[in-house]
Amino acid sequence: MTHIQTVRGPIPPEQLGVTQTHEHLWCNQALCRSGDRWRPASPRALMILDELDVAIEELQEVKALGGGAIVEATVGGWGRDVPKLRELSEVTGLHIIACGGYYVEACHPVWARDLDVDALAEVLVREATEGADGTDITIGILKSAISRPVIEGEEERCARAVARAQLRTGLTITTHTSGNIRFEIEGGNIGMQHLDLFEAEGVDPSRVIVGHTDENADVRFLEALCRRGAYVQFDVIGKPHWMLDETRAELAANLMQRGFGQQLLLGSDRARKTELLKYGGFGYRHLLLTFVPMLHDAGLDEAAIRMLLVENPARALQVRRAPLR
Amino acid sequence: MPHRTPLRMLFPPVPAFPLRDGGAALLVLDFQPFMVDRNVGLGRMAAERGIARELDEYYEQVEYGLKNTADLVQAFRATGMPIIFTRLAAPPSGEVPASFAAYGGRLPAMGSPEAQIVASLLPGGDHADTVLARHTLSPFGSAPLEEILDSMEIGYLVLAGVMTGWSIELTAREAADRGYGVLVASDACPGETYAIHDFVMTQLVGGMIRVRSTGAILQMLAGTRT
Repeated sequence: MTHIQTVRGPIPPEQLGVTQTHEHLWCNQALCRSGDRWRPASPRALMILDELDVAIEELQEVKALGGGAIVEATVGGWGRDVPKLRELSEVTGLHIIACGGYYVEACHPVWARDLDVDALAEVLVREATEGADGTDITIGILKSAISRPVIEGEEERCARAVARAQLRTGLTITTHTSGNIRFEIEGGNIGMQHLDLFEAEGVDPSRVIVGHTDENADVRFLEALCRRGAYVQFDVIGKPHWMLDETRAELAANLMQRGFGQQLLLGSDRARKTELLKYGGFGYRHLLLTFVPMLHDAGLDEAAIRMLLVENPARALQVRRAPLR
Repeated sequence: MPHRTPLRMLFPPVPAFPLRDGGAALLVLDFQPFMVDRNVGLGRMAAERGIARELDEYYEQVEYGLKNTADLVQAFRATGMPIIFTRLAAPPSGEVPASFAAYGGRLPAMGSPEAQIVASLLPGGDHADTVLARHTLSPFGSAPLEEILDSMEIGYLVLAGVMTGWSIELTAREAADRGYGVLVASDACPGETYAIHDFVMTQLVGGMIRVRSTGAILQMLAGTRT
């Protein structure tokens, strides 16, 4: 029997519902190391979310629009707080999946520098089996992040640790490629190199969600990732400085026409206060309120949209070791 | 919200720059009192107009930029890699190109204190560093930069100095046009404002140009990152 691990315990995949597969509800980038060589970023520019009442209010809007679940992509090292996530889940009724893994090098916990791959993996296995952040609340997904145009150094050790933890826990891996570095990488995303590393470690690509593929997109590259078996994720919906949402909707339709609709996931990666409704942003509701109509305009019918928002997440987030396709 | 830069999505990937394999030089533009000391040059011109505060953001970046450039200079000297400084000075004719309107339409006299490299980067003594005087926004325009780079068999430039939206951008693009790989040290290149600095650094990436922090470049020189 497969299941999806939420902060309130395991649930059958069919109970997940409409799911935004990459968001942040509680995080604090100020905990990361800064280079200290330039003017410190203003708090408004940093990824800091620390207002429970605001999160509740904005998640309730998602719930009212039919939302069922949120993947919370914050890992240890920059403010993950799983009790807060459970509280948010209990109050709003949304399923929340907590994340373990390693974000970019600047945000690695200090102890990560000194651990080898297996020790780094062991930390994640414990978070998946015993609990995270000093609680019995377990993570339901793993994350690997790369801030350079190649996978090397501490980030490579952490990526290998995530792979080994995946093999032991059966959790899905979600990935990150950083900012402007995307424009130095073939295809615009470190996904191919990530898959090479994961496969070398024995991970089935169908257990990998390649994130941030809508920041520098090429539909041929998206297809190539899908052909390797991975999921691709449009997860900065509502961030037009990377790409217009209308373009994202057309890319989604294009992937559907190419036969890869079953491997596309959606999220909006809200991580800054300025991205929330209260502070003038689009909020978590943007995906369901504004982007779904754009998908309709791009030619997707209800069944296709249900595939993206319900069926694909229910399959992608299952905790299991064997490949699903 | 950052600006949209959709053309960047068409860029091919940038090749890695082998800084440690020889063939790389540090090019430092115009860290001279005229540009970085607010009591003279640009700062004095702004003060005379009563608008000195307008340049606060610039001079704040200059402080960061000078410190970061000093670290790069130290690292290049420690590894024996070449360093080339440029300084802006009026040509013998005294006719300053109109492109220097941004700098008040004037340049310091060649031998004046305002035209010399600041002592924190180039203290007196015996250095193998090259210092080139120029009177065009691009150092390729009025100094024998390319000849010097060719004679040193330089293929890659690490670029620092002032000012991001002017000489730095122009030099990076012209060097790339001429076939050099260019690594811009983002936090060693003060800009007119932080917003202009950030935008130019975002837009510069592509072709033969990469942008990295000083910390990342120091790691590259130390061999701990690609």
